[in-house]
Amino acid sequence: MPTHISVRGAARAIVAAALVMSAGCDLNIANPNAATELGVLGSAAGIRAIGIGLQGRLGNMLEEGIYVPALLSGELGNTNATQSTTREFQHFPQTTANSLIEETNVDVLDLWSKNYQIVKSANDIIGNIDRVTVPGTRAGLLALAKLSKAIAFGTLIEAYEKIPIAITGAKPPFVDRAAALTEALSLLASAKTDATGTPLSTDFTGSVLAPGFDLLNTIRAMQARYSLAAGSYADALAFANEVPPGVTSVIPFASGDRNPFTNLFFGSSFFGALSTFRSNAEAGDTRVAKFTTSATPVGFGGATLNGLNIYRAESDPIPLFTQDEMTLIRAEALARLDRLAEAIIQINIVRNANGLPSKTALQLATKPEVLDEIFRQRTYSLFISGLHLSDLRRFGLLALAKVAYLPYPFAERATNPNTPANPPQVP
Amino acid sequence: MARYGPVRHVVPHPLTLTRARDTFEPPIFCPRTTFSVGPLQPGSRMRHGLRTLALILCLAAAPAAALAQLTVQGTVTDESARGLSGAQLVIEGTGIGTVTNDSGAYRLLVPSPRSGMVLIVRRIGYKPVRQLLAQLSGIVTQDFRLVRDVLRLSEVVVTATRAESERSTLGATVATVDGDQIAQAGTAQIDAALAGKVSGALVQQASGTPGGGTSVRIRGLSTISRSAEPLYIVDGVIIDNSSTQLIDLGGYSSNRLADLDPNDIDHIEIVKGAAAAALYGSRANDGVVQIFTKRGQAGALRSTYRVAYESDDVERRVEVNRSPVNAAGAAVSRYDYQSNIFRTAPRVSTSLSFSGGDQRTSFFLSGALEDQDGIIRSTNYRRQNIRLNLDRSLTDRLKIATSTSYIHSKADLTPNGGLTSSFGALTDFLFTPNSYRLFADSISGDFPTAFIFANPLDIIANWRAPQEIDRFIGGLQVTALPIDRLTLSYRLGYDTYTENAQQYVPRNSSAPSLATGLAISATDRARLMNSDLDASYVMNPTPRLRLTHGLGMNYQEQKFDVVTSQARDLALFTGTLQGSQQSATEFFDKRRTLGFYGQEQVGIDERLFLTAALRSDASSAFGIDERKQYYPKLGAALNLSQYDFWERWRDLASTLRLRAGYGYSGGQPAGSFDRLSNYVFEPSGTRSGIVNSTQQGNQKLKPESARELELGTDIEIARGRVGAEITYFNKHVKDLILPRTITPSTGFLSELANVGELTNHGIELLVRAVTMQRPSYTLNTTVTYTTNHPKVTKLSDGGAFFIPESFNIVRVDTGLAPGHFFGTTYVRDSSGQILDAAGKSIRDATGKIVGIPKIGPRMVIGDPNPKGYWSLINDLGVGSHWRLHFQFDGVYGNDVFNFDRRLLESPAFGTGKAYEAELRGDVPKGYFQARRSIFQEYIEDGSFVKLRELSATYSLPAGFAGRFGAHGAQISLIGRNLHTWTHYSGWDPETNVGAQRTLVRGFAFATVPIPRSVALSVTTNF
Repeated sequence: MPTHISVRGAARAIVAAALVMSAGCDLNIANPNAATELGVLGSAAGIRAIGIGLQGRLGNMLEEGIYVPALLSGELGNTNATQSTTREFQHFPQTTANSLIEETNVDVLDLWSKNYQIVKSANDIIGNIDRVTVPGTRAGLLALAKLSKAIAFGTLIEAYEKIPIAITGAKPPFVDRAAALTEALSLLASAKTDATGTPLSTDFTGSVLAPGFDLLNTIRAMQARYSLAAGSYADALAFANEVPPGVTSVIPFASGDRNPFTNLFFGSSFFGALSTFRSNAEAGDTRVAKFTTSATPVGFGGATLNGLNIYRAESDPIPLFTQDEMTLIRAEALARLDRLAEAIIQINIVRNANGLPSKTALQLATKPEVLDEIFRQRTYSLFISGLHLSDLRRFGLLALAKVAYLPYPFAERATNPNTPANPPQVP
Repeated sequence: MARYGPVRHVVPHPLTLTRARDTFEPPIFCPRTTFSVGPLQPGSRMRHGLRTLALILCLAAAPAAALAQLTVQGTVTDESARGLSGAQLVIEGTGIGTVTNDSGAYRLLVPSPRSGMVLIVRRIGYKPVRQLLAQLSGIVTQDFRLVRDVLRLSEVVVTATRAESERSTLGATVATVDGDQIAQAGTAQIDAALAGKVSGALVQQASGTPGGGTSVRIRGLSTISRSAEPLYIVDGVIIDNSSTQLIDLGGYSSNRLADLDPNDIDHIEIVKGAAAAALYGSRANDGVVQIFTKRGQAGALRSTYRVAYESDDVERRVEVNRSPVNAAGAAVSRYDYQSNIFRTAPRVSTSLSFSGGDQRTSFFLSGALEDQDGIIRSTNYRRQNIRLNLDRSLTDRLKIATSTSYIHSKADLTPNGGLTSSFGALTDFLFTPNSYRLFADSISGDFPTAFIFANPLDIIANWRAPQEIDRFIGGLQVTALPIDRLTLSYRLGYDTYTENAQQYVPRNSSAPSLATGLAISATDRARLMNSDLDASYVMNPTPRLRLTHGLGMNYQEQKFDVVTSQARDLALFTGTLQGSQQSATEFFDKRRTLGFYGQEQVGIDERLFLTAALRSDASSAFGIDERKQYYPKLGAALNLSQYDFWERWRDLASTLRLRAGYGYSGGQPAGSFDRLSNYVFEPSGTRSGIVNSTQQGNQKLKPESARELELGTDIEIARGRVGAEITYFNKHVKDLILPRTITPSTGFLSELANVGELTNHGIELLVRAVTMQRPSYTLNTTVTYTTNHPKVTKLSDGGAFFIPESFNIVRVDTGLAPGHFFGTTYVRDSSGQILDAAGKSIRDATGKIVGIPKIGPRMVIGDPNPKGYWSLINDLGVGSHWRLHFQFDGVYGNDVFNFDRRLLESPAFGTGKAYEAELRGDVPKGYFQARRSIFQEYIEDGSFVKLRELSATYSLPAGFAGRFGAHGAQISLIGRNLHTWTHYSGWDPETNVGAQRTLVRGFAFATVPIPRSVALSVTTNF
């Protein structure tokens, strides 16, 4: 029998062993499934990766950013196949008291939250940019972040009457349309300074910025777009003129990051174009076939619809702006500045590019006639680009829209006491 | 009536964590003088020749100079003078002890008797007897007649206090189930065998698939977002009992308790609520179940060989449509494919164990083979277990015990749908009209395509879903008594397993959407470790007062790593992931928990017992701001019948005990990393970026917290023949972890926060009675009864919500039972008549259905939580050879959502008999099409009574068994789930497609019914 074992020694060993096991107990275990806030925001690689993720979020946002205004403004209609989440939007053709959109509607929240997720990622970059030491990468990331934030505010303010623009605190205050557009334009001006002040690094342009995404010209285009929305016509004209002809800028998609409209339009077949798009078109307009087909899917509540013809492939990119938009911004700015003859030249550039003959100064003799034609060209050139609701607002045609403003999401109202009362929905 | 004198002090049994009855190695409290280094050590003394004596005695603690010797001998009998085997006789405060043999005789050698020595006799089910030894030398004959203890109040339990305590001293109930009750239950799964054995524990077997899962809910649900299964401990090792659903095969996911062999179980202790389980801190909200496996005993080598042959079949089938025409009026043939899906399946279960040892070392070695075919064709389950439990006394005051077991199991399963999959044998039986001919082409072997999903016969023949487990559970325990009355105990527990689940849908399968095949392989590697230190010190400051101080710490680490790989577009005739499209995902989870506790137990006059304890817990899963959590408990037990004034009522009630317990416990967050703000993958085109997760981290996240009050009484009447344990419990759980909305303009959408509250309160009743006792037979009856009223009292700002993956029918709302059913309803008039869209009754004056029901709004339509459950167990012993046993289990007041019936009578499939009515024209065309949208129709009363167990055991006469060289042999005929009495119309009201999910309960969707089984078992002891 072992006689050399000392019980007290063993007892001490037991206690010591237990203490050692627990002393090595680190209660801060890293999560290998996901990057942590500290790790991401504390490294240049993390900030750079957010730059890529931010563009992914932009692409995601365009889903509701385009189809919600398109539904509200009567470009798109729901088919009978529509999911329950968008059911309230289906009622738009009959605007009655009981068809009001509720705060709890999923799309009301999605459009709102996806834009603020862009703002969050942009702020992550702006607030932690000091980690990025390569000047050309730093400048590019800053410009991208500010541009994205401006797009988020610009998109939001067309659908909601007031929006928060400073989201550093937990209960952000709300500002009106003018302040939101001012903020968007000042972000864009700052972004332009970043993008032009330092030559962008090839690391940024080659590995962060998505292929097809023209950063500087998108900044210029958005300056033109939001200047027009803000009523700064001379600025809008100048900015639109900065965008060289032929330039495009897109958000690309791939098999792992699919164009959302491919499924919405062709997989689930949730949407169709309101048939007025085709029936009101001028003969020979190539945009009719570009955007729609002669198919007639059954619309919800008996609405007459046509099939859609864009974004058939999941890798189809979504444009951030088009040359037609720039031309029509020039036309509209000129017209509103009473330079009608120059405006008609711009109108005809668009008409000719889309298979239509030029209009003469005789045909567009008055300012209202010119503006009318510009609205008409915008309707066809910028179909399903998310801008039609904004156009109705600017051209005083809001009565044609189903809803003027969306209510604020319930989740915002429930948690943010600054949320204003919902504006009247019926235009 | 054995009463405790004031001199008694209960000495915690220091050298083992099993109950006193499990060992006859007695407590050792050597006088300090004998325990010094040098030649006086007992070990050295033994070297000088006392070794043979020590074979009978446990270690001797007597002074080395003692010369006198006393032999005590006699028999221990029950009240009818029958010898009791296995009774322990221990000289209190020394290490001297023995056990009685099969005829109840004993002989105890006391090497150095002193005056004042007390001999204690204990046997499970009987009250202990204490006898002062008057004579100090020579041979004394002392017989004992033990009085039964129907309430088992003197039984020693360890789980609640982490030290040995007699049940009578505890303020909160601790239930015990004996190993033979588990082994004789006729099931390969321990938890299934627990059904009906314990009040306050609702045991529900989710699936009749071999190795399928079982859920145990103790005192109702204590959570919404976490697993609601209790904490399981095996011989001090915290084991994993998760039900990780690696692949959804239709409510099959087994819980990992399925890996243990029921034949190894000695007994199980169940600590029900916070009032008792506070020492387990943040892991105790759902109760604690500690399983003790058998250990070796000193003496000759004993071996037990058990073999059981079982036959399983399906008890109830659904009636199928026999209409000769289809909806279009065309003539069709109809089939009942149940005969091609179900079968009568054999099970062979074999186990062999050896145990033995000397007074220093003992062992228990066992091996078991389980080979079971499922009642669904082409399913089976095979399990191999090996266990070695070793006990070794290094010195008188230092003991090491190990428990090791290795388990391998392999199951071949057949998919059966589930909440996220539409493919399965029973699933596609429901989804295919029974007018389709589904048999394979006799020449090509091809199975015809079924209606929409897959051909069930093809699934049975060609789809494979093998599941395999390799598991090791090991525990090491060191117990030391460095000074008198101080016991130190250290435990290291380790549980590790690799579980692999696979599913192969071959290329060219009959499922249109899986025509190019699908292969999935998911592997979960789990590792759990616990390291515990417990210290207890007993003090008797005055003869009437006993204090037990307890201190301890507990460290746990658990890690899970799940990798799921998938291949599509499979190569023909391959059995691994050979496909042109491959993908893989991984999920990793790891947490650590560190706890400390202090406990004080006070005993006054052996009549009043008070316990107070405080546990603190820190876990990596808690937010930084809430790292430390505290769990106090208080308990009081008053043994009123021990007071002298009770004499006048003793004829009325021989025992009356009042008890109260109050305590807190916790429930850890489900995800170890839920507290963290994470950045997640976000692709842009072909590039991968990251963005903040829209679920914000919460560094204030803390465990869910239960506060429980339990009040109860234990009473013995009819001169100790009837005992009742009555308990009221009220459990209030707050800080339930639920998603909470975050202001979306911050860029987040939600966080997990401690926002919800729910309550459970109910009554538990346990009655044990010796219903009849005659010289030739004894009938013992046990009744358990439990009621519970669960209610959610608070949710987060979002209010009511539907549970994901519940077909949007399982819902949580304040003021209602958690997980109630919410769905479309009938529209009725004031007299209850079902109305059609025009507001007219669908029935005409004669009661015939002539209209089509209108679909009404969604409302609360049912509740799967039972109002109560009960069991009735009778054991009849006839003579000394026959034992008859039966158990009825009843559950009432629970609803089942019979999705099966909805599919069976849906015109699109129409396999059920009900649909014949529309084909015959008894109901208008379109009646069933409309009715299928009214979910209220498919809520059925799921109350049932099952004849859970019925067995007859014959013990062969010793002489007869002896001819084969055996000590004894028993032959048993065991029936399980032989009959169900229920109004429920489906296969089985007990099963659940949600398996062990916390809130998807009572949901019938192609779940495999629990088989009816009959087994013949032979047990031989050598």
